[in-house]
Amino acid sequence: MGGPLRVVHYLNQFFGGIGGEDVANMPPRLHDGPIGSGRALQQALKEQGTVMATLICGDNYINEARDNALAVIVETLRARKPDVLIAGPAFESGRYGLACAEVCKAAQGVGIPALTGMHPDNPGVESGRPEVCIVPTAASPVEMQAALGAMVRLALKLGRREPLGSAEIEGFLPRGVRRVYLRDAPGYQRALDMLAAKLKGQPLTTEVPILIPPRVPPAPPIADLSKAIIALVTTGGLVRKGNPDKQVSANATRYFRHDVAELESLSGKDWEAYHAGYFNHIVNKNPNYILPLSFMRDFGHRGEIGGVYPWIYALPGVSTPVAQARRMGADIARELKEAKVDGCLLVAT
Amino acid sequence: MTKEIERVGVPTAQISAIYDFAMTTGANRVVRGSRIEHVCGDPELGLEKDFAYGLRIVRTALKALQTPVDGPMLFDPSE
Repeated sequence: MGGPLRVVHYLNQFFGGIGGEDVANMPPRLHDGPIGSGRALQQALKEQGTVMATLICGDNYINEARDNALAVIVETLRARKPDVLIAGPAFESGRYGLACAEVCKAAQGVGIPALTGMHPDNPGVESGRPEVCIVPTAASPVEMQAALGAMVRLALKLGRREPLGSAEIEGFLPRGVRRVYLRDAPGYQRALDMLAAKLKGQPLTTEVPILIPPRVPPAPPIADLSKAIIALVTTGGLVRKGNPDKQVSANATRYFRHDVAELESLSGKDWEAYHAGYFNHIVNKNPNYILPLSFMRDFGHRGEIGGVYPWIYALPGVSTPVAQARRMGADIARELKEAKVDGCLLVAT
Repeated sequence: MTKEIERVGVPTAQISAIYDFAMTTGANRVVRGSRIEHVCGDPELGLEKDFAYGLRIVRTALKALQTPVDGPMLFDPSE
């Protein structure tokens, strides 16, 4: 593709040179060309790209009136049709980081490639996953030049719609997105090479980095079980017989919910498991092994529980990246919370 | 997923045969299931004992929901 890339830059009120906290409530404002830290971005782009316009929005405004702010921003992006949107970098600023992640998602939503940069601990990183490419930066704007250099490299690729390599190669924070590709050596050989390196005390890079999972504060216990409505969730791949919903057997990106209000038990005549991670034949004879409805009805009839929530939730929890599981879990959580469910049993195979 | 549901304040018991994995991933209320291929019971026990075993697992899960915890805790139906 010829010609310099057309870039729209997103900045907060501070980096846009308008003011500090006193103007943090300002709605989005459009400026032609680069402004504030956008001048440094233009220098980093050199002749490869042009900052045609800058969107500036107050950090408070975009976090408090997000839909309004994003609507204006999306409208502008549609009108200006840039090749790529660059947001920030936001460094360690939390509200700015969240704003940058949201603006990138909104741009991608209308087909415009987008990226941002921020410190790995910025809450915007979590909020941008798994969609947004986020270049890790230092905590402080003192490192602006280095951050912009890394962002420009990636922005040129995204703007030219060139295929991206892994996060490690392209220099953005891992998003939890998995791609299938051919390695130059088979798995057993790579594993043995890794083991040999480890025994010799040589440096090695794991292919599956283990992140220490963050803790969640425990929910308070149920005070009166005899009045409690309990929801049932399974990652055992429960589907209706014949899989009419066409659920996948692995790497699911969505869950299905089914109404069991009228059912005493799950029968192998009507339900089965479709899950690539274990042999399903035992569950196919008795699906209650992965979604214990029959047992719960027993407790219900004896008055030990208030009742079973009429909707059950199911997906196959195999090869599911953590980011996807987190998203689906959060969606189920929202539904259960709105339905005022008191507790939940989740069967994991 | 268990953690996301707990996060909104709904106590959640995760029944799993790979209970130590559930613990390390940070689920707060973990119940020891039977086997991966039949988490809530064991067909080899025969109908009656199988159902009793399943009830015991689920009862343990319900007990977990009623128990205050301050971090990942294992609830074992055999205890």
